[in-house]
Amino acid sequence: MSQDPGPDGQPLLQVEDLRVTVSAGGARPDAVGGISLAVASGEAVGLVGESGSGKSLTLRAILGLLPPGASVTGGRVLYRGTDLIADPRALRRLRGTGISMIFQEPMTALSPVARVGDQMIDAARRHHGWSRDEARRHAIRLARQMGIPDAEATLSLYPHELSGGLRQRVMIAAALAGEPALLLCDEPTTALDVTIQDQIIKLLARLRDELSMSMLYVTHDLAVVAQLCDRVEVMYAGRIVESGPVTATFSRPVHPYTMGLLRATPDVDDVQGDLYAIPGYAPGVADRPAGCPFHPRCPVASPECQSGSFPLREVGDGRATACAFPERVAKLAGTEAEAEVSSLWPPCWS
Amino acid sequence: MSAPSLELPAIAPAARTAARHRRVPPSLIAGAIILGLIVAAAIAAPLITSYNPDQQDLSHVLAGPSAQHWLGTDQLGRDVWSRLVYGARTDLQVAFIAVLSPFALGSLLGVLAGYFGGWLDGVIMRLADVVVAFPFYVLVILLVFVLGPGTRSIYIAITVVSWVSYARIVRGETQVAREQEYVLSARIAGLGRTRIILRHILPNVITQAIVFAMSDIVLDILAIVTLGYLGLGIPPPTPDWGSMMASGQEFLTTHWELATIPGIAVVITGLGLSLLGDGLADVLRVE
Amino acid sequence: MLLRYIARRLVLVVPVALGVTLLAFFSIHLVPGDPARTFLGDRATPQTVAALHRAWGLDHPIPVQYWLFMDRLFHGNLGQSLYYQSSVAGLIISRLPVTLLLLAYAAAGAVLISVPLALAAARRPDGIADQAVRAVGIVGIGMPSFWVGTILIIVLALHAGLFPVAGYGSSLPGHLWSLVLPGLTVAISIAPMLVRSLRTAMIDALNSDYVAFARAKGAGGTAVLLRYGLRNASISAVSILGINIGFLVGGTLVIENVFALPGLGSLMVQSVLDRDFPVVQGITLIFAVIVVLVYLLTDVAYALLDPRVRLG
Repeated sequence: MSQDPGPDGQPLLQVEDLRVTVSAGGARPDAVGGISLAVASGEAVGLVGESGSGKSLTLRAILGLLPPGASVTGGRVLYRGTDLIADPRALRRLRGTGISMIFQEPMTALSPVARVGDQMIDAARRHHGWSRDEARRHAIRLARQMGIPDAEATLSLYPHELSGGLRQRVMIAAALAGEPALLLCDEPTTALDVTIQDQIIKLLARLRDELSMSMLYVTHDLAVVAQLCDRVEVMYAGRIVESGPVTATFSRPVHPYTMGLLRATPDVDDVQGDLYAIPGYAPGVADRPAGCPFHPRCPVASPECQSGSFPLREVGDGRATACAFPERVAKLAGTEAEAEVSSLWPPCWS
Repeated sequence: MSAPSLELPAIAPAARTAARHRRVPPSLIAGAIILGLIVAAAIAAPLITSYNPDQQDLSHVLAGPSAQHWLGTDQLGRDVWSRLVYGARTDLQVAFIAVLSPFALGSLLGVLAGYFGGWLDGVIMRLADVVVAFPFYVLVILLVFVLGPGTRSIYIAITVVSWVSYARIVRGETQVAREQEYVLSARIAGLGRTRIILRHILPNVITQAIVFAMSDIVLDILAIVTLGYLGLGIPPPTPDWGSMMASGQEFLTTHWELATIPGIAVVITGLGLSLLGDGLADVLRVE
Repeated sequence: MLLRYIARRLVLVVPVALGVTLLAFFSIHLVPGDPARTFLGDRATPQTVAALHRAWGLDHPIPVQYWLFMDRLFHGNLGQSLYYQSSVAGLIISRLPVTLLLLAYAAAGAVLISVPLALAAARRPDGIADQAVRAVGIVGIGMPSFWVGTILIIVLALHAGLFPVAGYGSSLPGHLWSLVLPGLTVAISIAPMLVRSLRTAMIDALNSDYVAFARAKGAGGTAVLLRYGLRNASISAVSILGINIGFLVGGTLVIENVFALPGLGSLMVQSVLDRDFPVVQGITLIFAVIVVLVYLLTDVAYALLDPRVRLG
């Protein structure tokens, strides 16, 4: 796996002002309203947000796999400088070999009528022109790398004959067969039970290190991001609201929404503690409020937040926020303000 | 667990009602217009035709289109246009009535099967399987034979054969509706079963059956016309598109219009009904 | 696994088969009057009626009658035709090949027409091909099958002279050639229904996650379509085709009359007009048997194609 910063140190993947529209009975609202992010070589970036924030659509848009009804209506997606939106042929060549993707539910991502081994290497085989035996050997090697036990026997099974965790490993193997430099992950552990989740995350971490692979990891689970990723982008209502290194962002967020997400994550060491939830619901695609999209649920919002635009701005140390008043968030994060936070965001249970 | 394939972001309730009020599907309008014209013509038959459909004029057989006979005459000198319009009357009337009892019977059995499940469901579904084992026309023809010629037999035959689709659709919808919260709360409140079925379940499951009924009318028209063609349908001398086409078949080499024009009428009627049905389905579809 | 599946299917067929025979059995009792008289028609004399009463046990309770009916059935005795003075079973056997051949033509034609159309429509939903296919479909559903046949006769037989106007021909090549137009007619008349179902199944397959994943890992465009989309869609396609067999058979019945083919369909209609009940009842049973067999075969084919079913 090459570690290739590019001739001028440009990032591996650069998304600029990406806009994805969905057709909803005549109306065409923006599901993704102009987001920009970058993934450097060897870097793992987490993309977090609630359901409906547009994070999965972002991944799909990068690879050109949007479902019917959704389409890219603006922006650029640059992979090593090539705009994939403007050049669909380059995109097709890159799928599997430069960028690949794993999905949430392996049972539906794998075809039920083909054997697991075939599904693992068919794309790569076509690409490299391997013979049947070469393909078999590659498949076995790949399976072993993924920690799939008894590779030879397992590869001749059908997806429904495997356990959930094994299926997920098969899917990861299939996605990596072409040795891509960037792996897009669409909530690959959400559908698994906790012990398997842990195994898969460790596998991904190992692969990230061994292969110096870049990852763009979509999830709503902050704990996974903390384990796997170097940087994190927080999405809300189709926009990026905060961006920065994982440690700094999670310890001192600069956007109220990130703050709310962190407070909502149960703390395993504090079983007696209170559970918080951000009051209200994330807006659907068609009814995003004017001004800052988060202001209806924000504890530190003020009248200025109800109109105008709130683009992402850099605030130093490689961090950025879309909040116009990040200092208010900083105030919320201090432990002295605990009581104040509780009054603004009351706990669910006490 | 979220659904496997990518779901587009859900649209909030406010937008949904806005979308529904926005436009009436063009298919609904087109279908209504076409069907409306045909039904109007059928109802106004005496006004738009100048001849009695059974009136023979043996001195003017097989005449081509003219000012007196817009579509010419058939082998017995009867005015084709009149027979076409009165045929519409007959066929549409029978078809519209014929769709009612399979609809009623099938929906009733479907609700019972879906709501109570168990052995009642088993019996009704086995019955359905037996009916479906016979090809449509085979069973209809058998029943028409056994029950004797005439429109009454046609109604009974179509009922016996067609109730199955309604039953299956309504049964499926009922099984879903049964588990909905509004039904569960009604049961907790102690409402009697009949009340629940009639007031809560039936109104919600019947829409799919109505949509299907629209396409079923088309099938019924085809069945009536086909029976007429085979000589097993509405007894003569009542004009019927099917028997018109059958008698016209003798003259394919010289006057092929006799055998084909009534078919065009069937196609247009079917088109109107299908468009109407599609439009209705669009409007009634729950997003 | 597979044998168990087949066995289970066979077991489920039994009540349906029984129901079919029950219906056929009871239908004669729906005719007003003495069933024996209906059955004997013009040959009804006091002696023959009495003989039939004994043979059928008409004076016994209904279950006994049904038992005797089934007994006759299992011995291949479907009665004597009133019109043709020969056994119904014999008549059926002599006419069966024509109907089966027509069915084969019609099935082949239906597949050849519907599958490519559905595929063209499903590749790009709401695209030009799709809208055209849907438009043709909505018009096609309202076309009476015999009318389609008449039009084909006018165009291809009368004007172009390519095919015979009617009839079955006198030699094997004649037979095969004369079935083309009828087969095409049946295929065209059920195509709209098939295309609609197939199109939906294919769209589901093409939009599925496994196609998306296949593309994500780099499987090329057409290869993806064929290997993943089509293979999965064909499983539901087989089901769809099997389920529509009832319409296919019904279609052949009508079309045999349009083209004057000596098959079971034309015999049935003629027998109704002749009030020849034994023949009508016999043909009804045979058609039901054909349909049930096809359902069974479809289930087996489905099991063979889908490893989830095959391996349990």
